[in-house]
Amino acid sequence: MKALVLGAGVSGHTAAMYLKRFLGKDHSVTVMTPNKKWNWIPSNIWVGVGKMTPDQVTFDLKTVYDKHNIEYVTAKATEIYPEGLNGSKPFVKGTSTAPEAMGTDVTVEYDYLINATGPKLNFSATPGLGPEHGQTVSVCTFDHAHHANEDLKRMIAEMKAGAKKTFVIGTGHGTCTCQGAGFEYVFNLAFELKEAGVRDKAKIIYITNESELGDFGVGELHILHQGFITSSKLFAESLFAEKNIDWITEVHVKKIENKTIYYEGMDGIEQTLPFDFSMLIPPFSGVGLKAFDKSGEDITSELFTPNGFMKVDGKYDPIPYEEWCSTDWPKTYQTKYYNIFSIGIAFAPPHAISKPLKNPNGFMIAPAPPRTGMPSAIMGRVVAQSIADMIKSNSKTPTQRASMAYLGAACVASAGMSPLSGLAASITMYPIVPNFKKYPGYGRDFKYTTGEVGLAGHWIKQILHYMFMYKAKGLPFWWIIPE
Amino acid sequence: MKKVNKKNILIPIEKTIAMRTNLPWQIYRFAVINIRMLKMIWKSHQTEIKD
Ligand SMILES: Cc1cc2nc3c(=O)[nH]c(=O)nc-3n(C[C@H](O)[C@H](O)[C@H](O)COP(=O)(O)OP(=O)(O)OC[C@H]3O[C@@H](n4cnc5c(N)ncnc54)[C@H](O)[C@@H]3O)c2cc1C
Repeated sequence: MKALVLGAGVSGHTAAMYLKRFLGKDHSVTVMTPNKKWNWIPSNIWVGVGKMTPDQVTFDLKTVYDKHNIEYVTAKATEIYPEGLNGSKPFVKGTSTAPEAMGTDVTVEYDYLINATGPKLNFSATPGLGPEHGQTVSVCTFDHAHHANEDLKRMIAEMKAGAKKTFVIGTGHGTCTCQGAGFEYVFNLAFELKEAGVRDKAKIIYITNESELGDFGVGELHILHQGFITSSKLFAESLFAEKNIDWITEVHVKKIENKTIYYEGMDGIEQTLPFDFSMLIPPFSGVGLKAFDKSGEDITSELFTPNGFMKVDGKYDPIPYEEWCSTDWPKTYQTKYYNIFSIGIAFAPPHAISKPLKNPNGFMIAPAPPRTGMPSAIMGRVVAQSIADMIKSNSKTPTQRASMAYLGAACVASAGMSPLSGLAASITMYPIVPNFKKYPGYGRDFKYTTGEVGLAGHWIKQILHYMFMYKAKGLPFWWIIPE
Repeated sequence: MKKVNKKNILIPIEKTIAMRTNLPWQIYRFAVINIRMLKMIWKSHQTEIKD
């Protein structure tokens, strides 16, 4: 049998490594991905402030795949034929990104397929957004982060010469997710400016689509703190106020022109915010895969939602926000085809967790649910195990389940990198998708939902960097390290 | 966008800020946070999905 994984990011690479481990020599595993390097994306924050280099957060995939006997196709998948075409086996079509064959067509047949293509960084949703065609920087890829650091160093040099600068960090559209990355970058930036002795010359503003600071697209968190049920908003606001960072919440960024951000809140009134340096996270969409049936008919809408994420075993009926239930969330990540799965950011979440809002001008201010590293990697392992079991027992039913309504997440949000004066917020939450039936009122188990800020969190974040790089490189006993 | 009255915000006292980078305390917190994370990971791995 042949298992094909599309995408070698956090979830796809994990799935490919476990598939090979579970299936052994009898079956083949192929990875089709456009990237040559694996990137531990969370550490891009540190690349973006010059504390790490791109080489420290990446490694060559080919060496690892050669060592583990995983076939590696450097290509971008474009079309899936789940039923084959005119009697052929199911296959995926793609376009080569290998230098020697750039742009040529590639076709790979499969028996089992995992779509782990992650997000398309949709900078074009907001005119003027992004490092390539816009005026803001990004830390979503190691290249972007490297470029952000070069701009930052220029700003610091000008501030050392006496200039005052305005920094705006946050989300670049009303429907963004991944607010945690904006949160980490704004605090790391403040930390760097302080270390460089220019903090007094900088005005730092955080702009976000979250209704409140500390929402993170998960409908905020509540923790037990000294006998009180305390909201993440209180802790987040406290940290922003302490570090003298201003904030603007519940907004949609409309466009960026002449180094000015144009945005609207729920009152529908347009406001402007001029900046010298801005890092705004783009909204995410699916990568634009298309699907065709055995006669070549386009069936993309059967497999994907309109924004390009793949429909799996979740409940996708359009229901009002108030009526959703945690059991709507997918469990096995199997699609309508028994042999196709989708994991990580590529699968379609059934609904928002934070309440979606629409302003009087029709702009959505609706944080999308995050699918962070830990659940993405767990999905990779669990789906690999299911596929291995299905192949071995010749069954069409997945054996493993991992719903975000039953998975927790550990998030360590860096707030400054230094071995003795660094800081990070260490957050655990259980479950990720609140379950209001089981945990009335707040939706999460207070025993496992915790948070605190301190140097210890920074040490953990740094250790996690080395642990996950080690695991992803497939070095001895890599599978012992939990996702 | 919401107007925030910064007077209503929790501001840490000096001791709280100092404890965040106090080495013996942070070594202790390091152990506590790791145990918390392991418990949460264990819970995630153990919970049976019933519905
Ligand atoms: C700056 C930043 C900081 C973050 N920090 C944290 C953190 O601290 N903790 C945390 O848990 N999470 C963090 N996250 C989120 C975390 O990075 C994601 O949850 C995780 O990367 C999702 O994994 P994935 O496999 O779905 O997508 P990705 O890791 O993005 O991988 C997608 C893969 O698919 C490939 N691909 C794309 N298009 C195609 C195609 N057409 N065909 C084939 N392959 C394709 C890509 O090249 C890539 O290899 C952060 C994210 C960002 C942007």
